Amino acid sequence: MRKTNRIHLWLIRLIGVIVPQRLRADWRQEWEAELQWREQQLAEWDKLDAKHKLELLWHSAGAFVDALWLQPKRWEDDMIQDLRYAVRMLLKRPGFTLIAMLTLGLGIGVNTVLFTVYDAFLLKPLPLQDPDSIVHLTGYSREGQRTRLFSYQDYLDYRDRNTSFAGLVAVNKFAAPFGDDAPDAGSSSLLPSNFGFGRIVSGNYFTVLGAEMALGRGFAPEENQTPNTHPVLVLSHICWERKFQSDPHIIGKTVRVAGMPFTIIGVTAQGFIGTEPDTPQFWVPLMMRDQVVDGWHTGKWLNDRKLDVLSIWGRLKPGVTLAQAQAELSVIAEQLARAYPDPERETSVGVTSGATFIQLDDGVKPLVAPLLVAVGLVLLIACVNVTNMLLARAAGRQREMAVRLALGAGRWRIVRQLLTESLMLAGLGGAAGLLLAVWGIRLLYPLVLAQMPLPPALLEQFALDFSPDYRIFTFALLVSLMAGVVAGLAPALQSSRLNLSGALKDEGSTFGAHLSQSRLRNALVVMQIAVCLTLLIGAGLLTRNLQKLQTMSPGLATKNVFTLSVTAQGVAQEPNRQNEFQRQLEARLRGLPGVKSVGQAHRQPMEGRTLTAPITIAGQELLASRPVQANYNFVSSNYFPTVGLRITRGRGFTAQEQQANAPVLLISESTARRFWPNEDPLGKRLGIGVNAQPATTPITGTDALPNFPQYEIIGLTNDTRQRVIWRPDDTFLYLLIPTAQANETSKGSHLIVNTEGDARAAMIAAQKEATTLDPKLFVMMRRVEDSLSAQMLPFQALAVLAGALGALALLLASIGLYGVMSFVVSQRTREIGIRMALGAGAHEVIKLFLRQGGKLIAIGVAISLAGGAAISTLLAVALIDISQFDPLAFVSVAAFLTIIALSACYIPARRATKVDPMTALRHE
Amino acid sequence: MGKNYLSYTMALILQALDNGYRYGFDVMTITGLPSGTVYPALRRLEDAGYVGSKWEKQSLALAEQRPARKYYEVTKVGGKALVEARERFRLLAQLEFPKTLDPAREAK
Repeated sequence: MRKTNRIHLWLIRLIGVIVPQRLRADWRQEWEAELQWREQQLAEWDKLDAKHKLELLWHSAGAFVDALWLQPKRWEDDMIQDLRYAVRMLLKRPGFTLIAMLTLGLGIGVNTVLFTVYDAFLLKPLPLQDPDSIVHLTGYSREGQRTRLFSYQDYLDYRDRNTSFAGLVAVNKFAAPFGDDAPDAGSSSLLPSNFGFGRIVSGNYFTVLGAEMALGRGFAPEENQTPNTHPVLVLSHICWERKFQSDPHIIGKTVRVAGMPFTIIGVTAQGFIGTEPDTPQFWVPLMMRDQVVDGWHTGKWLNDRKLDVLSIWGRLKPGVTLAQAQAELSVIAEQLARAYPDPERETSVGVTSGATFIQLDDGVKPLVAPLLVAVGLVLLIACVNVTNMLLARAAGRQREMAVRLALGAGRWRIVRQLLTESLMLAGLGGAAGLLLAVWGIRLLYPLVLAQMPLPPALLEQFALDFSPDYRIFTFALLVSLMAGVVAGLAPALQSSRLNLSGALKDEGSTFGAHLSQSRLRNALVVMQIAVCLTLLIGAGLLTRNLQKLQTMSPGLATKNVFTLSVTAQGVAQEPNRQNEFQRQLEARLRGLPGVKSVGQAHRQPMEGRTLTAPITIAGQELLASRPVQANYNFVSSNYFPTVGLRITRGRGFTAQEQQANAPVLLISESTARRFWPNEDPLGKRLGIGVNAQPATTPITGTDALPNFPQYEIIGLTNDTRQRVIWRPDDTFLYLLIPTAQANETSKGSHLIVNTEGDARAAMIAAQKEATTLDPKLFVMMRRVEDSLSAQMLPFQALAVLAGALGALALLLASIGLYGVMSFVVSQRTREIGIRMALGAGAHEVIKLFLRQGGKLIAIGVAISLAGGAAISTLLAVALIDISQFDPLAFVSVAAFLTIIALSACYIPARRATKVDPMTALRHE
Repeated sequence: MGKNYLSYTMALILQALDNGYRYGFDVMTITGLPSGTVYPALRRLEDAGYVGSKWEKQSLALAEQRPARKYYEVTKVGGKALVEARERFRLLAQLEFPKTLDPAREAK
């Protein structure tokens, strides 16, 4: 009779796994019996053929639906029992629960904060229609250098030759005076307060991105065809709300941009932010570029393929993949490179997804990795703290576990019970962490923004969305789950491995915990100290780094110096007027009280960049065949005293030389060392391709020595870091600023003003002078020290961030150490009593515990030195002038941690000595 | 739709049980409903108190060398619900289930 088809039974058995345990046996019997009976019946009816067998198999598959339907009945299962029990246990000791929850909450919170920021930049899709089809183009030079911008002609070719895109849009940012307000000269932001932030965009911008308009319309095609003919603009919704108080009749009104009246034709719908996190205040047609961008390649950008002025975004046609688009654009790029050969142009193009603000590429990874490691380590410390707390508690619950084991509970059952408890703790911690993260970001984000040296108008346009979404919830949940398992697994496994007879007799608390248990605890403490110190070493390195940068001399004066430039906006067609204005202003500035001297230079110091040009030196063949790019600046004769540059040898420019625009120059000492290591550079000659276009004269061999104008060296100046504070200028040449009327190079030059005392008073006076001279012209002023502190900002931010993480780690680790030592002391109360009764003094008892703690600390410190080496390698990118193994950072941080850790041991040890021997001996 | 509302499928299954088809597979065969419908429906009917279940006598199963089967029967409450349902589903009231599952005898 027993020849039933095995497959059915196997299937039932397999599905039975998901049936709640309580019901499983009955459930299985019912299905097996039915199947067997039916098979038997079919056999009796002579119907046991393939078709019916298959039907039977199909019927047995229905067991799965049946099993699913039984799932809600799990409520009375073991799992629920565990949960109920866990809740009771956690409520019974609210203090323990609260501390464990907060500890995990801090760890999970820090991770969630990081993930929230990561989410906002890299994961949240842009609030555009179908964000996945948005792409961003990047150009690459022949050497593989990334270039963000493309020339207008290249844009047109990419736009018109491709078949992959529904549209390609060209965009660039600019800042210009916006509205009629006068600037606030006293502000320390890098741009005047009356500046607005806009984008010049191609005519298809709003249609390709799918922007809807709250009012009015986007740009019409004819508005983007002929240069400088259609002064129209579209406002962003935020700007319309903030600057124009949501004026419903705004369409048709005019607003001044760079002194020119623009007609407002539209307001974008709320939520449209473009493709970058800094939403512009307004958009103007690409063809209006020369009206709003001051004097930079005016007119020439329309035709010159070397002038990269636009970034390109696109929308893929439906069904076209990134790879297909990439393949097509690569072909076009190749065609362009062949048609217009030029070493300075980008030769290939990359297509990346523009669905989020940032893509996780090789540029971003080195920034994310150290942060990820750091917050991960903080969480690890928090988990270890909770592990130790659970271990300590497990020691107190040995008897409970022993009774359960003795009554027949399986080991797995105990482990599951304890894991449920720790998971529940982690769940609470995760909830706390999520709240901490949400509140923390809400609190910190405005503070961080306030630190940026940017005008409030730009800051309030930032469109980063930090609100929690499902990704953040999932992340918090996963991290909590992991934390729960990491924190709870070791204590759970250990508790289930009890020596029953000992535990039942409650020997645990009398004669110290099991050796293995204390060994695990010690290992955890060592690990905690090592991890914490690793983080602190990172923080220490970054702090030392910042310190170094702050004390680093740029080689020229930064205090009480400000720069001033006249923006030609509104008079762009009259460069003479601009130069005339600047000359008049310079004369007036000299007469202002508090102004010591006024110089002139093409580039202002600490701007982050300088001019570079190829140089050749007669007789130095290597240089002749491959000209070196050298940094240079055009300066006036009184520039050197004004910015505090010392002339260490030779002399400065004379007034006559300046008048005659003589071919003489000064060079920095490092330049002299580099090109004339063993010679006197004074009187030597140098060829500089200042106005030469190196691209038009390709250099192929030694005989094709480019014929650069020759200059004679008349003096040496001290070395500087005048581009960026973190990099010395390896070469620097100072050329006379041409005073000849109205030539292109003198345009856009800066006046450098050295003042007595703070520059602000003089800046306000200078603003007044400028307005009286010509109310139509704008001046831009900036204190050199503000530029310098703006350069420090990222390093400051890194140091503060690392310091905060390090402090958090230290706090958690010392709480952990303190907790463990307190526990050890309480476990050994009786032993201490005996020792003291036998005559041990208080300081001997303290020494006992300090020695025990000290040993752990020492091992932890030793391990962390290796960890520190690893983390400092990660930080190497950000470390400027100090070795990544900076001994001072390592030693001072280690000493600091040791002191904190020893005090965490000292406090409980001291409490131990206060024990009355009699009570201690009676202690159970 | 209250708890006591019987869907047509549920009513059909209840009627099959009432007509003497007491096992899940028999109900399945006679109604033509898939097993994934019949079993959950049986569980729901049981939860609602319309159907009771019993294991068949162990001795009976042992004699045939197979596990005991679980059979279902309509309770008093279930009977009332079936009457109500028949009033709603007129076709159901006219439906007569054959007395046996044996295909051979049915053919006669």
